[in-house]
Amino acid sequence: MSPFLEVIGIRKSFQGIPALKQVDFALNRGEILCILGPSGCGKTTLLRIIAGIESPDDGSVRIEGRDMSDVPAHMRHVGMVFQDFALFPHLNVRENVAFGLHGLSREASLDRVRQMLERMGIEALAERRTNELSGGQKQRVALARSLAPQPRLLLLDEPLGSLDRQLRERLVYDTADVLRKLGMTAVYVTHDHAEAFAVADRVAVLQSGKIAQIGSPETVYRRPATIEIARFFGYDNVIRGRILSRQLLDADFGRLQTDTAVIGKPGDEVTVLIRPDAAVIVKEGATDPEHVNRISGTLVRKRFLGSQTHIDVRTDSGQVLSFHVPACPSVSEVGATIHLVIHPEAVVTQVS
Amino acid sequence: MKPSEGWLHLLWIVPGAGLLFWFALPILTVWRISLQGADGAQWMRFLTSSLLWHTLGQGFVQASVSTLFTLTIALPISIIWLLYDVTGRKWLQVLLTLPFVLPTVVVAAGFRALWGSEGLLNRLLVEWIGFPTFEFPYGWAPVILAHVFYNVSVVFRVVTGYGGRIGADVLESACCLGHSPLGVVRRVLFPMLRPAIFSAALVVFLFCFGSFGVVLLLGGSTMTTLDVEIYRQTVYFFHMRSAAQLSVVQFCCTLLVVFLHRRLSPDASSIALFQSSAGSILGRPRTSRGRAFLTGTCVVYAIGFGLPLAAILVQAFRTSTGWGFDYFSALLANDSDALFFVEPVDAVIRSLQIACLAAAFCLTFGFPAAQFLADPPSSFRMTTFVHGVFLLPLGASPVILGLGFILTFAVHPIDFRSSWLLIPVSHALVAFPVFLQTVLPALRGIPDVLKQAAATLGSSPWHGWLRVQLPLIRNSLTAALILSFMISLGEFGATIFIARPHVPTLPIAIYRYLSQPGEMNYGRAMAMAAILLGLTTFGFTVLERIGKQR
Repeated sequence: MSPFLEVIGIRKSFQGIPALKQVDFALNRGEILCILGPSGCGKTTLLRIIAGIESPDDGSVRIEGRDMSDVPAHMRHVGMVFQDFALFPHLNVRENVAFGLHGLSREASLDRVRQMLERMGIEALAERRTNELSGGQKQRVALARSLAPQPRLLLLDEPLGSLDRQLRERLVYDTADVLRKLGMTAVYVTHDHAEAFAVADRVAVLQSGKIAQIGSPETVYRRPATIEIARFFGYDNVIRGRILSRQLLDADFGRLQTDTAVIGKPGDEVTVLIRPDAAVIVKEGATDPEHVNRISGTLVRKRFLGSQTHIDVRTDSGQVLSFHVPACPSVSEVGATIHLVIHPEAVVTQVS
Repeated sequence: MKPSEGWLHLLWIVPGAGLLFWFALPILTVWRISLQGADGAQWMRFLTSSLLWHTLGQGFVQASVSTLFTLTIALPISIIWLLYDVTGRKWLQVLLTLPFVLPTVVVAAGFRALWGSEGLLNRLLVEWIGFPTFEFPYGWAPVILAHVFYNVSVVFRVVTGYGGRIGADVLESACCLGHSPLGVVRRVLFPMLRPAIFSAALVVFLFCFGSFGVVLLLGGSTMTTLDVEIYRQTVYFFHMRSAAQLSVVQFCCTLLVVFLHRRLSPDASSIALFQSSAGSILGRPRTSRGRAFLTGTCVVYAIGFGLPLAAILVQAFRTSTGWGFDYFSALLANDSDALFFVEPVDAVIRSLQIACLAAAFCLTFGFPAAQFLADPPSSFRMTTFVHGVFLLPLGASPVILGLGFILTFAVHPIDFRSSWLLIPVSHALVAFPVFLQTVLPALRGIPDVLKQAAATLGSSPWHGWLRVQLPLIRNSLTAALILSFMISLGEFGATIFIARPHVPTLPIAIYRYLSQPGEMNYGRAMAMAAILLGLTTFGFTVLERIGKQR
């Protein structure tokens, strides 16, 4: 069976500046794909091309095996949730949600609207004007409106981007739940990786107009394919190392063990990433056989972030590494010597 | 109130007192005369007279028809302009919005250049066929056409200005919900534009109902409006009382429409008339058929709106002996028929001087008033009232103002008849509300935090005003000055009463030449209209430039 949505070789430039260079991916029915990338990487353009609002310079979009090039946006049966919701200001909530329902009897249409409002928990807002809604309410109305005509594919363009963090964290799970319950096939665009991981079955990282990596949230986070992706996910520590054996590397400040095999010959130079959240502070002299990857150094900076403390450690070889460690127990003062143990899983190679 | 704030009240008291003397006094004089010796019975006679009801009825029908035609012609192009990016988009916008700032006399002259027995249409017909087949008589047709020409720019400005704030995403989301482009226009764009369309329609109705120059020049002897009737009663029949009574009715009608406008379209009243235009919502049309259709439509509009202006230029440069500057050089000659006693070119120079003075008056009185209204002392509770009073000159037609001026300042004890001050002051009064409404939003738009930031950086209020506020409103202030200048340059209704025979302004000279028979007079009128057209087009270009920077 062919995939539900195929995006094949999409290119698009604006005034000679390429926004999308070559984008290919496929999506199965019922799957939620998150397109993740920094702002200005072409995510929204890609979504608008799939919706048919924008036409690509090259390449094609296929839905259920059918080429969409000649199908205008309003004939595609593709729903879209816009970043600022794009609610119609001249209609109330109920009329907004009913807007996309064609060819239904009045009762059926009212019924569908009621269902959608109920599902979103906003029945009480039905007669409100859109300018009387809070940001979170607007988001629910926008989602209800795009789901009401039962589109075969839903596109969401940073649907939580204009909300504050607390509300975003709550709504992201609600949105994901609704999409899963309906078995909706969806493409969700965001720049926030926590949001992407919470929603997606698969994540595609879009960088400078190309899909740099696509895979399950865990794979993409644990094994970033490029240094740029690693940095985007917050890997601060990028160092050079030499291969000693299959799972052992030699860095300036000591030996590092990894939990997956390193590809390459012993003696080869490789780039090594160390995740900032995988270090534990240990006491000096404490020798536990499980403590591999011990690093000692001077604490050069300490920033208190609430539940975590961000520390910079200068190793004996002069390299500065950054880590997030739990704020409890409290961290020594700046200038003190500090000993850390890094979990082998957090030592990542094979980046290009 | 802080002790230092007391002097701030001078900012509104001085312009307020000026307004009282130069505006309220003349209008009240008109009414005093109309009421003098006019008892209830006389008023009843007036209120049941055929003069009043004929004038009102014809004005109402004429304004309704004009508004309907204007909307029919303006809405399609406004919506195309909002939605699609068409080749020559900028030029079309200039052509469609230029009439907004054109003096009525120039618009009327443009149609005189086309219409009538000496008009271009008739001339071309005669050249092609050899004999005149259609008379192109003055009356309803040219008046409605000129009103449409003039007011399409109003609808276009208001609707595209309002529609420019509609985000593309709203229309796109309607597309994604399964509506065709036409359905999107009908179900989303139109309802969203409704307040702007309604507001524009009322403004157009008001303009057409109070039309003066266009009806006087193109309407022939049968057409009339309240303003035209006031002029005729005064100048032709010396029925001062009828004129004054008509002016009371006129004032009430204007107030009624202004009131309706404020009540019914609060959303659209905040639209700035000169603002940078946003890009089209949907970009270039996709299909080549769509592109061809839209380009064709735009070309038709461009020809329709370019024609009257082109006709002025053709008629100004095309003499009976061929193309040439004959009519322009005739402006330098003091003719023996002594229509003016001076060289006609003096009217050009005098108009420019008057316009400079009027703009200067607006600046000296209007700017302090705007500054005060933008940031009144916290203890001041009459801001809205004072603002309303300053806008009152909008409600009175220039014709009443002119009538008031001659009734008030041309008689003992305040005899200003020979004063050079009278015309610039009347122009400044007409321009004052426009000046205020251009500067005030800019002043009010300056966020308080900027002033506070300047204060925390050690600026005194005066220094902060000079270094922060003034640079921020510089463009709006320049725009307001140019607008006042242009209003004065084209002012016709008040000037026609006030201007003395040997010192006419440019529009008055054009009117007088057009009212005289003879090819040379017609040619001179066209040459002067061409000059006025050039001046206003130049001013308009500067305004557009400034609008883009604001």
